[in-house]
Amino acid sequence: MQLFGQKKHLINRDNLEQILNDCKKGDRHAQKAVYDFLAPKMTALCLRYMGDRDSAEDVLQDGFVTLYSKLGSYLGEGSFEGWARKIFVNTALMSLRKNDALKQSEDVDAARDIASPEPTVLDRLSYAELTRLVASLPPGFRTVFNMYVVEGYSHREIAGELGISEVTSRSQLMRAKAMLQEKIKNL
Amino acid sequence: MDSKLRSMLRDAEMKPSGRVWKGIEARLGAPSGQGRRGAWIWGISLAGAAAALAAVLVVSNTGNSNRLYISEDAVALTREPEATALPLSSLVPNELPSVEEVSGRVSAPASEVPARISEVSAPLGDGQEQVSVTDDGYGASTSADSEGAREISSTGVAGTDTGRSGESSAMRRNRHGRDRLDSTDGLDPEEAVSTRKGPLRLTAKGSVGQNIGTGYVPSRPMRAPSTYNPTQTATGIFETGSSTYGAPVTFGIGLNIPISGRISIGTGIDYSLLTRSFSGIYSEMENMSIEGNVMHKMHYVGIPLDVNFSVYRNRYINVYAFVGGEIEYCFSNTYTIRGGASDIVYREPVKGFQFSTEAGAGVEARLNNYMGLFLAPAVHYYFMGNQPKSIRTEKQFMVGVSAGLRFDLKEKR
Repeated sequence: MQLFGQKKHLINRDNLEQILNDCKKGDRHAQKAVYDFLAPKMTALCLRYMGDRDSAEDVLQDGFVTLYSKLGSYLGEGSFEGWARKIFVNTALMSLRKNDALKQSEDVDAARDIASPEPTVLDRLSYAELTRLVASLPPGFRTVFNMYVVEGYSHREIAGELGISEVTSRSQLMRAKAMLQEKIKNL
Repeated sequence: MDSKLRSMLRDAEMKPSGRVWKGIEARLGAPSGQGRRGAWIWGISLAGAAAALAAVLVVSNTGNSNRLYISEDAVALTREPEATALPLSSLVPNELPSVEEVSGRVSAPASEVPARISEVSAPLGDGQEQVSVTDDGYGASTSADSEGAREISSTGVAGTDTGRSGESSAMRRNRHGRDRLDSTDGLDPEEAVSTRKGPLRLTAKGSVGQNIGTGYVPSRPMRAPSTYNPTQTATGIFETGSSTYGAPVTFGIGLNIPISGRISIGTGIDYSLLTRSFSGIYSEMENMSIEGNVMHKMHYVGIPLDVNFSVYRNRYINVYAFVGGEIEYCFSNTYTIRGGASDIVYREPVKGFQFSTEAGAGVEARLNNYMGLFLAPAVHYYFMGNQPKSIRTEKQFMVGVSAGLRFDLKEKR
């Protein structure tokens, strides 16, 4: 069955399994279909972690190459997008560690209670604007923020992944929220 | 509040630039280090082939292979001043004819062509959500259900309301209205091609040259090696006939360092071979001399330095101009005399350096995401110095052409 042609790359729940099977066989059209399906969201994800567009696209490229090579380990259990998201998060974290970006983070000892931004304020923001604001946070702040708030990691997991203490993880998160709130106010 | 942030950030979408998929394609085509090594071997082979092609072009341009060589009735080569084997006056003709043609060498500049592709679009299917992308390639984002298919369009704003977050379409439209980032993010693919700084690049090249100038021609007998002293007589090699000059060839490897979007600095290391042959006499002792054909070979190693300016480029091609110079050192200078029972190799060290300057233009065609093939004609001027006789001392102006490959050492940022 012809699932996709030269210009038509569509993935839906019905053909996902077939496309992934073709992808595992190295079918370039299937790989492109998966790319088209995931790239927009993964670009935003990578930008949130890396902070700048060029680094984000480098990670995006590495992430897709890793994803294609590991497709065999995806057994269809759970969301494919969720499975893919973990690959891109790990790729971004590896890149940040490699570039020592996390060591450039501010060391925050005293966490303070920071109020979160008002939901009504967020409603006035576009997704892209919010993504850009998160990307503009210092590397350590935005990494903890992304892992905790967006990906749902616990502070213990974050501490293990980043090699920091749980206290530091909490304080980085607080400062990240405070800084984000300030940036939203200044818009 | 965190759930609101999570929902917005997880559903945010941004359109990647075309270079991402191009890069992925290239890496999928050459998986792991083996493919890369294979590409390098292939690239170096292609560089050699390109150099050979350039040589063929030069030869074919002459119309006659003999024109690659120049003839000269020249005389005299001395080395050791303390002994006299043959009087110079008996060997020197009255005057020298002019040199006709020779070959030269050319060095290679470098520049870069980033790879970018443009947008693609796909039609919507039933129940699928449309995601719009603004022309700056960075703006649009809306929620997209992973269970549904999506369309990517370059035509601007559009959005429907089947997203995961369950927000109203009016809210989404409001977001789309503000859903752009600054144009200074440099996300337009075509603009980025011309303004963004390129990657560090490795150059592998080969070049040949052909003399067209009317430079310095000695009006009196010229000692080939080292210094010139017409009153000197010595033991050594004496030219008794005309010289023929082989086309100088150069092979090199270097780096191209980007300075800005259009300007880069090229440097590296070159190896050049200059050859000529002539009839001569080798005299080692007062009572011993051998007459025969002499093959003179000079091996140079040099460091070029060029400034390259990209005049025009797009994702496929880069047209550039360059100026620069090179300093070279002759590490081997040998004369092989064939006339006796066996060949005699006579070596003479060379002091000093050969300085030259060059200017030219080149064209580079992008072969894939990390490699380009270039061809660059150039004009050279070789400064007179304390160098042995060669085509460069006979004709200081040379034109030549170089060809080779350039590899991106780091993915373009």
